[in-house]
Amino acid sequence: MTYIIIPLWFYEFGSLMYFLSSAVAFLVSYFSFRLYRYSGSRQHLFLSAAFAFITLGLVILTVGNVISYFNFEECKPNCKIDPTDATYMWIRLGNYGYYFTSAIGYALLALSYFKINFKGSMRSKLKNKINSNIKLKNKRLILPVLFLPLLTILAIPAIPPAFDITIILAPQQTYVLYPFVNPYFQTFHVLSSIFLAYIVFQVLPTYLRCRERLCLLVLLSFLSVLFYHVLMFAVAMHPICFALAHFSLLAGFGMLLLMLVKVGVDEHERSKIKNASHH
Amino acid sequence: MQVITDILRVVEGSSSNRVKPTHILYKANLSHKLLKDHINTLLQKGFIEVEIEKNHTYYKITEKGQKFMSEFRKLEKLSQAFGLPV
Repeated sequence: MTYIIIPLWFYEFGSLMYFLSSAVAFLVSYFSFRLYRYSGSRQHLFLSAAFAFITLGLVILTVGNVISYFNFEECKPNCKIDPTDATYMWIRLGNYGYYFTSAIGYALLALSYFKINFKGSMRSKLKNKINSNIKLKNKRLILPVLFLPLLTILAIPAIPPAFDITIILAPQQTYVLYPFVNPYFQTFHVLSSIFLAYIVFQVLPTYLRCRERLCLLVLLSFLSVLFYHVLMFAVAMHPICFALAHFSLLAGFGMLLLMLVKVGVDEHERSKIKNASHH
Repeated sequence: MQVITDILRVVEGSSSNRVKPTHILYKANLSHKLLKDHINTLLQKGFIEVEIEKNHTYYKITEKGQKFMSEFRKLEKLSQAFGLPV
């Protein structure tokens, strides 16, 4: 197991990033659900459910981190946290909950792009003749894809390792010695990277086709979240990856927020212009 | 849903802010019967209103209809940004 040293303030700064990201994910989930109520499309339902799971995962992680932060503050400078401690339980709960729910979220997000691809590629060749087969094929794919997030749970060790997390007090500031490279951590980030790479390759043609700023923001946001997972996987190579990963996550959700704001602003301006022309 | 928004788009997009049924029929590419059904739905929901002038019927979008379309356009843009069809 590889440990990395994180300044305690950054540990909590990360929690703030998770919280802000969860708020943006919640907004996307809410608007996607409203979209689903208008359209009745399964793709919109998957999109909404995906962001709901991502929100839940980030909220669980934030809660786990915030509680453990206060426990770290109380026990410093000489903290030795073992599996019997409540802090340890909160960290485990936060991390495992986040891994599992986020992996489900990414799986659902990937599924929301399944139907159009099959339909799109087949349509040009077979002109809807085998539409019933396509639907059946997609249904068969849903269960295996949703089963993949279970791998994150299966990778969790039955007996937690002792002294998983340690707090050390350096002359200048407090650090958290954190076990970032372990099987469940790696499984989650590899799985998330695969799902996100698939999603990025689905969103890329949309941007190339429409060349609009909104499509670009969605593409860049998924790309940033993909970088977050890749950098977190590579955290054992250099600790700077930890900081870069968090900024990448913040940038990803920031771009999603910008996209939502832009949708609202564009429509508001359109209404203003239309009202002015009628008056 | 698609037909409803198509009709509202035609009514909303007219320069005089009101349209004749034949104009909707032509722009939304609908049969007379289908148009009648959808117009009744829109009238019941309060999205459009009827104006009769010199024996001619015109349809005009209401404030409720405009709000619905504004909301729909936002969600449509959101869906398009994600590369998903509405």
